[in-house]
Amino acid sequence: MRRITDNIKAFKINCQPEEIIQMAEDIIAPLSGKIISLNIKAGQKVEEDDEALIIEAMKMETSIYIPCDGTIADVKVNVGDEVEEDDVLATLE
Amino acid sequence: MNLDIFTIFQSSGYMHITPGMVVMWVVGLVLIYLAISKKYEPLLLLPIGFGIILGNLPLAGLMHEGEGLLWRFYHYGIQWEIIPPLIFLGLGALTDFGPLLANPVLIFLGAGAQVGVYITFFAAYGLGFSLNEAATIGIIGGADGPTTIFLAAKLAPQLLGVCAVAAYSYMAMVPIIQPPIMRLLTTKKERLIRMKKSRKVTSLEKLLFPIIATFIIVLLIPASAPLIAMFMLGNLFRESKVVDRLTTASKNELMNIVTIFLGISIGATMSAENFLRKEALFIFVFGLFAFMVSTASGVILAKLFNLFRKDKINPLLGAAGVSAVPMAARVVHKVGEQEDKKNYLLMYAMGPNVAGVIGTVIAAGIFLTFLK
Repeated sequence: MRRITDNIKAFKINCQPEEIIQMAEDIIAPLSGKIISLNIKAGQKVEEDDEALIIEAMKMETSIYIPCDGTIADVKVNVGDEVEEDDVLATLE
Repeated sequence: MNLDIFTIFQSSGYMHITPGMVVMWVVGLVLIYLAISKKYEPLLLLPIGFGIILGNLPLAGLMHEGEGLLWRFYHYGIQWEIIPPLIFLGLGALTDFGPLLANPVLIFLGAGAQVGVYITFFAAYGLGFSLNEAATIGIIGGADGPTTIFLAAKLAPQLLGVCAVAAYSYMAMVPIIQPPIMRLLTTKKERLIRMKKSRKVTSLEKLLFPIIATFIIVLLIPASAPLIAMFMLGNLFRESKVVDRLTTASKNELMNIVTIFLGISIGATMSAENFLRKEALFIFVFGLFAFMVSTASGVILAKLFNLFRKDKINPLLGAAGVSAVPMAARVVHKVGEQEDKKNYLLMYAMGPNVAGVIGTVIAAGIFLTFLK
């Protein structure tokens, strides 16, 4: 997906624009907890700020959002999995 | 022995009900309602509510000094200062100091939020409460139930019930009390600040922390020893990873058992004479004031730090210094999420949140040192 020219989002911290057209992004767990809901699957087209999944920790549900527009390449977790901080939850391209 | 119908009536409590008691029954029922229906801190408010009713049933003698069942719970559990430290044992076993150790500067936000405690102390003293009472009222702003009970039992037992109910009620209302203050004192730009990725904390650090902290804090403020020592022991259990049974017992069975005795004892101390005084109203107002000022002081301290820091701290984190764990941290996360969905503040907020617990205990220790 060509992003570098017009789209301001190309310069956001989380998405690193690369010279080649392809861009990959990991969706990382910002905290440890249990996956209680999963809204994404491989091949799905998503937009920034879509809700990707929900992690439960400390009696609170924390929604994890898509960092940038793209297509889900791979979902590495299932509902019910316990994840640690910085685990890769899914990859985007 | 006179077995006629009059004796049964005369020995029944129905002849000895006073209006004050009826009012307290209503208070107890309201707390029970809040606990069950609104889920306001049910683990405490439900037994407290029922305890209030039991303590105000005439002739039942449950709080009769020396004999009553509930008096015994209160005397051996609270007056002997056993229950609050045991709760801290469980809290220590539950607490993960990782987020705090990853960003040690957040300790100061935990300390900053205690300013509300001191401001309320002076305000209450200025309004006519004694030093001991003012300190007990001030510590409500620390948002820590066991510490409030610990201090009240030592300094102002007559205020124990009111202060405890105030503390737990406001803790439940943290999601209502804090956000307006947080938004008032911060700009949108400040709320959007993303925290830098924190360093990884090793297991060794988390293991050494409770040991070193015990030495430092207990030697510095010996009066805080009962609470800090048990807190750190529980944490040591947890981080050692070799005493799983003890850790589990501390944070589950022991904690739950002790909470039962705590709740019902506190409730039973709230007799009509103790509660239905205008001081109680002032205490509820001051308690709210203390929470609000603590939230504000935490946020303001964070903003002050940002004047001197290259890596800015999101000032919302200051509100998590109010040690209602993990409620205040959740509130911080939610307020941050409203501005930027991808700003995940929860784990950062746990740093000041747990630091605030230690801060409140130290504040209580300082009061005890000067007032006992």
